[in-house]
Amino acid sequence: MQAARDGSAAAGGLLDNVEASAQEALDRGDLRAALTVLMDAYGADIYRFCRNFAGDTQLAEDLRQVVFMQAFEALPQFSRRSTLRAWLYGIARNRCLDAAKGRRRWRKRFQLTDAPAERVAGPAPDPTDLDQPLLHRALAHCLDRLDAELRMLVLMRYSEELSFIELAQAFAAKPATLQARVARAMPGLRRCVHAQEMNA
Amino acid sequence: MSHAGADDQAAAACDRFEHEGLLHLEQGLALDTHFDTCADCRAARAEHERLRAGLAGMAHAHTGRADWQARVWAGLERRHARRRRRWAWLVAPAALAAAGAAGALLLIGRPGPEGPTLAYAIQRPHQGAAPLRSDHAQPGDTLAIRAVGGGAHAELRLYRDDRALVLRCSDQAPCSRDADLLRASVPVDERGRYQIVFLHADRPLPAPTGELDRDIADARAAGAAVELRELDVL
Repeated sequence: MQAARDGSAAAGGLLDNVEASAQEALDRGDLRAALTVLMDAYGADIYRFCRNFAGDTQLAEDLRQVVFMQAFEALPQFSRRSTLRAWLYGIARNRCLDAAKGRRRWRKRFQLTDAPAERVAGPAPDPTDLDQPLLHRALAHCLDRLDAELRMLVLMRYSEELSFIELAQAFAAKPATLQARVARAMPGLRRCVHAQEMNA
Repeated sequence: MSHAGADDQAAAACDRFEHEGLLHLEQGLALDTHFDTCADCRAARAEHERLRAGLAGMAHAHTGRADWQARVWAGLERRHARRRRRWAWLVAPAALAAAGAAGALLLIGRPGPEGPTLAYAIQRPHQGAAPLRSDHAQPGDTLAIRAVGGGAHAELRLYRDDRALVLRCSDQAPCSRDADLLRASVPVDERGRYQIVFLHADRPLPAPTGELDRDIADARAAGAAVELRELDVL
């Protein structure tokens, strides 16, 4: 859903088409078709969010897989109180929190492969921008220092570009509360990034 | 004003963007002219926008494995196969005979040597008596919790997102107790990750703090047995 991230009206229309298409499949009882629409539309976004949150490629793969498996099983009870996109991010939030609570407990419950987890230093930098690698490394380091909920909130807001209405649905909190939390978090994040860049 | 005082004042950077401007931006409100004319605030805003762009660009090019969707379908098939095997021994002929009419509660729990000791079912309003077997519910559903066994002291607790204690009871409403069977019926109205905890011990249980991990640790330190089930309210 990269095209939907540029905030344009066309992008918004694309999202509406995805939601409508998935809802139509749900209405006729075709869960497989509904999940396929959601995976095609949001699979890359959910993976990116999980990878940025966990900083771990293998864990992000497993998290994405579990998110969509759970989505399939929960689709019959989808209440339409939110968009499917926000609903998926709510599932991803819960799974990422489980992972953050303890890798050992998570692996016992959700480990889907035997491959050892690969720890990456952060998101891969854009080789054409000499400033970006340092900034991304600094962001990855500083995000890792936030508590799990706040890290998720910042990533969903600025990396995944969810609206505060969608964030409220994913976090089961009021938009005003989340706006204040994000506003309070960013100065500290900025200071941390600045310190990282100065020390690089 | 002394020369030293003026220097101190001049050195103090304006932090209105941090304390006020940023929140207004998040709220979608227009910023007043100060934020256009103040050099400190303009610099702070520019830095904020740089971080926003950086966050928006993180891991942008990575989409993961090419076969990930096939793995989702394979994982679902494996899970369903496991459930078919698991429920085959639970729904034995004798159990069916004892279950009675359609209002029987199908329980979700991990069977131990003597059967499940903590289990729950999801009851949905306006959809008849048939309960749901699921690890997810939706706002407005009711959790029918059942716990069997325990010492002189036993209680049920329900946490949300590890740190909100939603329910704590033993033999008073919303719990009820019949010998060693403890039941509770709890509506869940808020989304989140819920943890159903059954604690039982031969001595009084420590009072909960409201934080799941700490409360479980305290209970175990006091000699209590702890069982836990989790579900999402989506």
